[in-house]
Amino acid sequence: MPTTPSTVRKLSRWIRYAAILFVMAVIAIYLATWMLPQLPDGHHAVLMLHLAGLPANALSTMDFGDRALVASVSIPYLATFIWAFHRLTRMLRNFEAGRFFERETVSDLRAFSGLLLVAKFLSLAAMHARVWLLMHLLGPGKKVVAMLNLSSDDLAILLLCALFFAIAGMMEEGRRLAEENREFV
Amino acid sequence: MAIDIHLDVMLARRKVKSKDLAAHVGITEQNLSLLKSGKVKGIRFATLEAICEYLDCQPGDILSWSKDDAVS
Repeated sequence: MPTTPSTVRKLSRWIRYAAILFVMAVIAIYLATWMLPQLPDGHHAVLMLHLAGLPANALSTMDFGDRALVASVSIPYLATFIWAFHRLTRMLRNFEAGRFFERETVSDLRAFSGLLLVAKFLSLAAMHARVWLLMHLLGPGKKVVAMLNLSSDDLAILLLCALFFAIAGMMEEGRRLAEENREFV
Repeated sequence: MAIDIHLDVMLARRKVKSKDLAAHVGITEQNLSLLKSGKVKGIRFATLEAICEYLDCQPGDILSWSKDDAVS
């Protein structure tokens, strides 16, 4: 059985560590934003965290119930995001073991790319939901009929995620060919 | 299957052990056994060439096609 090149193994391991750190950082930022929207005065360093779609001081002026309501709209996004990265780390583990075109590895890649696309949609939906909540339920009652806040960066990321999903589909074909090739002597 | 493999017959005729043939061809004994029993999807030209070279025979001595088993 061919051994995995050490550079691929090392790179996969470092990407896996970076992915774990990234997910932990995202979770920490969200938790900090919900739990500690504003640090008490008197600190030398001030941590400014705010969620997309909300003004910087919006969360700090809300009571716990309202904050929980605003936070809850991000839960589907966070769950999908964490699930996506769980599949990514599994895939990278398989890469480290040299299992590039195994059914399980390709399935993890497809799941990761698909979940990342869904997570991006949910993230955008969560941002709009936060603004809607602020305007209609928790805010001063301003009339906002409809709004759409999409930047070119958001669209580019959506496009990249979709492209990645398509490439993962091609990997599936590669896996099928590799499997077929194994049955030739 | 429509393609019959007579590798075991040729091995017996040439008095060659599967182990030696596998070592010459560069495949595992397990794969050679699968090939002998026809449980493979295909055979590479390189493998066929090495087998023919070692057994001093033609591909037709190892493979044959029979109409009876052919899948329509």
